[in-house]
Amino acid sequence: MKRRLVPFGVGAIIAAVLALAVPATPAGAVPAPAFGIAHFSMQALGSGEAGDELFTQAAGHPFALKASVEFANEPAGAYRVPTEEARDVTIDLPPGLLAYPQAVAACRQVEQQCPVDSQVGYFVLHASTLSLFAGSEQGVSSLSLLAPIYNLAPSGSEPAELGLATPLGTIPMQGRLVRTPAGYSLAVSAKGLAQLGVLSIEITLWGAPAETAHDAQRGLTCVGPEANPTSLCTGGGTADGEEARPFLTMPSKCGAPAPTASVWADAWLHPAEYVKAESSLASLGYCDRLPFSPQLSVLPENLAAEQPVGVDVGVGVSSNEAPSLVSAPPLRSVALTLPQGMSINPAAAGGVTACAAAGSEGIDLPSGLGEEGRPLSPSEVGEGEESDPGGEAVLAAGHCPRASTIGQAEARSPLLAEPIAGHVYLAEPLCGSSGQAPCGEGDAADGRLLRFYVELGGRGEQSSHGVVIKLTGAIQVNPANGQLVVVLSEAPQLPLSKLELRLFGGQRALLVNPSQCGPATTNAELQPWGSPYAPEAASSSYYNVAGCSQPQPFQPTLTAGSYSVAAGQFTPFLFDLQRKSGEQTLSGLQLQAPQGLVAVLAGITPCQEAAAGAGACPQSARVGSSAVALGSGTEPLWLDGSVYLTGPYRGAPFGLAIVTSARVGPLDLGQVVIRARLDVNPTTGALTVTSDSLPQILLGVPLHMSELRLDLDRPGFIANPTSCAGQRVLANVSGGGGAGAKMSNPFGLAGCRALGFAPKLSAFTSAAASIRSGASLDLRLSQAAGPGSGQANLARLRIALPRALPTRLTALQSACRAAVFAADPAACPAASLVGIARAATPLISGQLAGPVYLIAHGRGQPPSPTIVLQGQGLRLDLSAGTTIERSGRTAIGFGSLPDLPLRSVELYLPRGPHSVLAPAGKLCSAATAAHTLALPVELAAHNGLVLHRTAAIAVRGCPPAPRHKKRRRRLA
Amino acid sequence: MRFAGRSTGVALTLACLLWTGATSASASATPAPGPSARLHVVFTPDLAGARTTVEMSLSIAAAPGQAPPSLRSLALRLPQGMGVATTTLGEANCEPASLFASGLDGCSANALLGFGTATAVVPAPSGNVVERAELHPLMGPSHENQIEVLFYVQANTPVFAQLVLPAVLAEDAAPYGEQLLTSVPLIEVWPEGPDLALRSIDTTIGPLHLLYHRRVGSKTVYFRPQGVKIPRQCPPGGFPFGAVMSFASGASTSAEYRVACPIATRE
Repeated sequence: MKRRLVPFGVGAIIAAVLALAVPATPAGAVPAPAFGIAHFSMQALGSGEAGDELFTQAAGHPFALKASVEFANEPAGAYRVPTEEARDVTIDLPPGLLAYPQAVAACRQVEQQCPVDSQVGYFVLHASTLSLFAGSEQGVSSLSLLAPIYNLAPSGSEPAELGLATPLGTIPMQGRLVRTPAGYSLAVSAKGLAQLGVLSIEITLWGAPAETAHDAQRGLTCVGPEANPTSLCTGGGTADGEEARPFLTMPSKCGAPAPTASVWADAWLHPAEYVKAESSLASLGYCDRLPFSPQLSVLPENLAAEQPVGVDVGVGVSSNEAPSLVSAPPLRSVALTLPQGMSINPAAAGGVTACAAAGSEGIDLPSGLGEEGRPLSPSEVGEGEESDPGGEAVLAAGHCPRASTIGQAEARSPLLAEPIAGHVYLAEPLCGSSGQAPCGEGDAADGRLLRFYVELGGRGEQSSHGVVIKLTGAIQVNPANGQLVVVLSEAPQLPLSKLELRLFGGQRALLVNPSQCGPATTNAELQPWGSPYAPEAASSSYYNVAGCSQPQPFQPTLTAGSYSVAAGQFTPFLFDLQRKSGEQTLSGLQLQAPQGLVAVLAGITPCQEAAAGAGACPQSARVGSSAVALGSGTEPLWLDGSVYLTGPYRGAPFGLAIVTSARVGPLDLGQVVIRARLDVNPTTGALTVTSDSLPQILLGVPLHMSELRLDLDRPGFIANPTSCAGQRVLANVSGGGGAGAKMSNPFGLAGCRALGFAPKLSAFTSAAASIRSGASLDLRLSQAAGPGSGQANLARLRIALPRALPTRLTALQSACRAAVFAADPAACPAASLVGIARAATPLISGQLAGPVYLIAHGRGQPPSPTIVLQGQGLRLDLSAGTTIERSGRTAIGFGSLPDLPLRSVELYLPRGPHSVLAPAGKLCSAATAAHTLALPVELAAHNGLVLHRTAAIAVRGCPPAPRHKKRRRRLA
Repeated sequence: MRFAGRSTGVALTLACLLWTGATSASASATPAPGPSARLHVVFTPDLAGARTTVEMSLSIAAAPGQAPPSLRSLALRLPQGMGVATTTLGEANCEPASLFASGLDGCSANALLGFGTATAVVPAPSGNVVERAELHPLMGPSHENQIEVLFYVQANTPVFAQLVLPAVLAEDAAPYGEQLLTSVPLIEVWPEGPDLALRSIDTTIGPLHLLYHRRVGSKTVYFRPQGVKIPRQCPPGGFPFGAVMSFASGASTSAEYRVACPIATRE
């Protein structure tokens, strides 16, 4: 700590006096009372003639601020001596009580006389000394010193410094910014006071030092006994005519509680054992007089609609500099309602970490309180503080990771000559962490999800001013529409003429421009310190968003297909949908797979509905992976997820749950679950995936989904068709603006010729047929089928019923109308149910089984059977056509069987009142000697192979043929 | 059981009812457009005063470019004096339910009055489906003062179908003696499908190919029933037969045929 010697006439005398100073505590006395502060007071004074009128105008400039500290003392004869010699003294000014060193000339003339215009006040020091004057007792006397206080150019890292010009030298009082429990405030410290037996010190700072009213004390140094401190004076001067500028400004907070100042002091004998005293100033008022006209500016990095954008947000608060006027109150809080449509860019979360509140990667917000909640003494290092070389706690820079930086900050203050630079950091959310509830819409709306820190000063280039200010902000997000309100509250009571936050731009900017062109207006509600008595203010700023197309285009692109082109083989299947930035959002999706692309559901336990809705499906139900690209711009955020098979969903036998964990960087937005129904076309067997409305916004963050990729890659799940006919993957996609897009992707396979086709057909009927009960027919078809079997699936089956088994007219007349069947097969008349069928397929665990209906298709087409196979929620309608051949045979043809692996199909048309067949005569008579009826059959496979065979309908129950008996006799 | 009051010769009536025809080469009477019909009748043997089997053929044709019409009623007009009092056809009665349940096996062979075939058409855009059937006239259930004849039609190819058409006998104006009235139901082949349309009928009424049986003691005796007696007096132009038909479309038509007088009569 430097001392500036003052070569001053009176100083020489005082120097001689003080040089003889001794410790005030007499030796050999009884244990002295403890060190303490006997009295402390601080008051702002008005400019009344008496000079002692209390000043109560909030944000005004007092005539003077007077602080008096009296240390604990004890009698020593007719005089008093301090109980211990004070060492360090720190005065914490009330928050908002400000001194502007920039308003006064700074004394830079080290070891020389400070200029008069740098004087900002004076002090009076009372000390006990060895007696050199008459009337002293016990060798103790008292001495008073009145001397100027100068505004010094800061010698260290502190932002301000005052100097108490004693004859022995200048006692520096460093002014700095501290964090007290009441908030950020200014503190002045005098350290290492000489052991002069200081009893008290009274400091008077002038509100506007250049005012001539202070000329009486200007440049004056006096010394004398306590009873007559100005008995010996020297110096003096007048103001230099400079315009008086306010040096002091009162807090702008009106009403109770009154501003409170604190003083901390320790003693040489007990260093760092601080004692504290407080003094309340007179309550302030007249806040309604405070001018508050802040101005907002919002400047985007670009004007392009729906593009990531960096934004410079500036708030300026102009202030008065005339001593007779009141200053504008400092900004306490601001709520910026960003333009409608401006939203959070999900891509911003990529690669970003969050800054914790504390710790090695924390902002370390200071509180001014110790662990036990008590105020910290100047030497106690609390959260967000560090110890300076002198052992005093000072505000410390935070430790936010570089990856949490989302912008830059800069503040200008009349307190400081240079702006304070800093950063904006993404803060850890107050939800979703371990031990916390997952983030919800309430968290988003209340600003607990998206938070930020502003650190002004701090490390590196920002540390030059010795000022560290840390602010906490929140971004309140409307969960429904994404409207953003940026809230910065409890700013320090420091005059910030300009506060600028520059949020980074680029593709991963935090914000996205509105998608609608036109004025984008930001509205600000600003609250000053002094509110609610002081008026609040509103301001707005706008810019014009450009680059929109009307109507908004919607031309998504589709990529879909199997990884393998081998027919009939297992393969992963890829679906990828993309949209360009600026187009309508993806709001719905329907995907129709090629016919014959099958999903093997056997062995998969679908995810239960409750779990699917919560995105908590078990791994056993996983059938694929997913990836979604979120955010506008060219560098979206990719989130991986899983695709799960679910049970029945919205009327479909199965569903899919696309579950994506929206934990990106520090933000846990929970699970994004896209539900879809998985239908199997009962006629073609084609799979159709129909999504629910795709999520557009999550906790108020518009997702701007630009790509959705589904990879159904569970081994043994998806298999290719056995047909190599050219097909297409179809997709219907709906846009958020109401547009629709139909897309298709070619789908072709190879290797069909290598597939075999060897079905086996057997048929039976009963000899016990009659006109009344009709005749039965039992058809059984079997083949090796299934993915990987090397066999093609049955595509067509045509059989020509023997003339001995004609169709019954009564059955035709009882056929179910096609419209009735289509609406609900169960509504078909009982007489139209002419048989039952069963089928085995490797696609599901159980069998497919169901009734056989005779369906009437209208006037032009004879009724034909339709097999309704059901199992595991699936339904397949295998419909045949009926034709009458020239031979009189009735031919039944299943002309377009789905490309599904059916290992066996059994069709049983029983006898009975609803029998569809009748015996034309005696069946045994019509049959050959082998008791069989010829059944011409045509079988075709999906790979193009066609087989023509004549199967035999075995007539069961015929009497043995006569020649059979003869053979037995011969054998006997 | 024989019907007690069939004095006028049910079998002949039936024969006439069913598919009477005129011996004249052209019997169509109703002018086009609309359906037309042709009737042809043959006596076997064709001798005046002899017992005979009446063979009748009736064919119905649609107007050009139209689907065959569906027959709703048919009145067969018989010549005077060709009653069936002298016949012994229809010794037994047959119930429709028996026919539906078991076909011809459901009734006694003694109820048969003759045999024949019928052809029906099911109009279809892809081409008419022709259904051929066996036709058997049988003595129906006994009713007081009324003769009921059942026409049992059974088709096997390509569709198995059974149809029983009851017919009743009534007096007719000269030159006819009696007429047999038959209502034919609309036969919708399948729901919302076309109606079955009769295209032709060929049948016999008489003992030809019929063999009745009777229990005499412990034995079964087979015999032929006596057929329709041809009157010795032949009207000018021959024995008149007629058919009057109405159709579902509302149209109607008729056909006549005169069987030339037997040679023996002319002698």
